[in-house]
Amino acid sequence: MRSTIIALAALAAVASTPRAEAHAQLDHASPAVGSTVKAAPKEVTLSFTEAVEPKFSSIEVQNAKGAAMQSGTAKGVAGNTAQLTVVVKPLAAGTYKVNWRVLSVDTHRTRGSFSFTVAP
Amino acid sequence: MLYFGKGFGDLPASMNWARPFAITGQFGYAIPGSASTTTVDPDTGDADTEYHPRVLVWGASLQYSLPYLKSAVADVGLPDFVNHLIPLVEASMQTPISNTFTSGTVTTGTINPGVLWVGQTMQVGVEAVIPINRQSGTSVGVIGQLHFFLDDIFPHTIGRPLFTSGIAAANKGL
Repeated sequence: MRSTIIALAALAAVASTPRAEAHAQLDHASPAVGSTVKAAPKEVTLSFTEAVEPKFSSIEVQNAKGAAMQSGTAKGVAGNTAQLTVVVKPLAAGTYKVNWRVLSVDTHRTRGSFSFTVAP
Repeated sequence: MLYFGKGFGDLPASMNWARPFAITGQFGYAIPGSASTTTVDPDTGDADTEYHPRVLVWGASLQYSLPYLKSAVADVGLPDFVNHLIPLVEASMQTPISNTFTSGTVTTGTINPGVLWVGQTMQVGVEAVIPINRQSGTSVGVIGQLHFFLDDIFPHTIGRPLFTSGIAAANKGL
C-alpha cells in the first residue's frame, strides 16, 4: 500500500509541475520594462524570444487616462523578425502602459503588458 | 482531475514585487482498478486480503516567475540564466476516503520545493521530495523533469502550420 501511495505522489507531482510554453515572449523592450526615462521616446520597440508576424500583431501605448498614444500600427523591423516597433505621439511626463499582442511564426498567440515612466 | 490557477499579475503597482507570484491547485478522485487483492500463503494456506482505497488526490503549488518579472514588471538586469528561472513549492497529497479497511485514512503526500529553468526549446526542473509524515516515506528524495518543445525544435516540420498561405500573403509588402 505504501509503495502505491508513494507512486501516486510521484505521479501527481510530475503531472502538476507547471510547463511553460516556449511561444513568443517579450525578451526586452525599449524603453525597458518598468524603467523610468528622462527623454520621451519617439517609438516603442519590443524584442521577442522568437519571430513574430507583424500583420497579426499589435502594440498599444496608453497614458494614465487610457488614451492611445501610438501613431499607426506596429511594424516589423528590417533584419530582425523578432522585433516590432510602433511610433508614439509626443509623450509628456507620466506613466505609460504598453499592451502587446503577437502571433509567432509557429502560429501561437501571446500577449502581455508592462509600464514605463517618463520623468524629464 | 480538476486543475485551477491564478496569477497575481493584476495586483496594483504598489505591490509590483508580488505580481510574478502564481498559485495552482489540483483536485481529483482516484478509483483503483480492483477493490482488493488476496494472496494465499502456500505453506499455511492462510489468505491475506489488502483493500485498495478510493483516494482523494489534491495538491497545490506556489511559484515565482522570473521570466514574468522581466517581461511584465521590471527588467532589472539580472543575468540571462536567472531570468529563465521559476522557483516553486509544490504540495501533493492523497487522502483515502473509502474502502480503507487495510490502508487507514491518514493523508499522505509530499512537499516539493524546487526550481524550473524555462528556455526556448526545453524546460528543465528539479525538486526535492519531502514526505509529510512517516506513512508517506522516511527519507527525502529528488524528482526531475525535462520537457522538449518539439514545435520550436522542428519549426519546419512538425512545428509548421498546416496552412500558411494566408500569413505569407498578409506579410507581403513589409
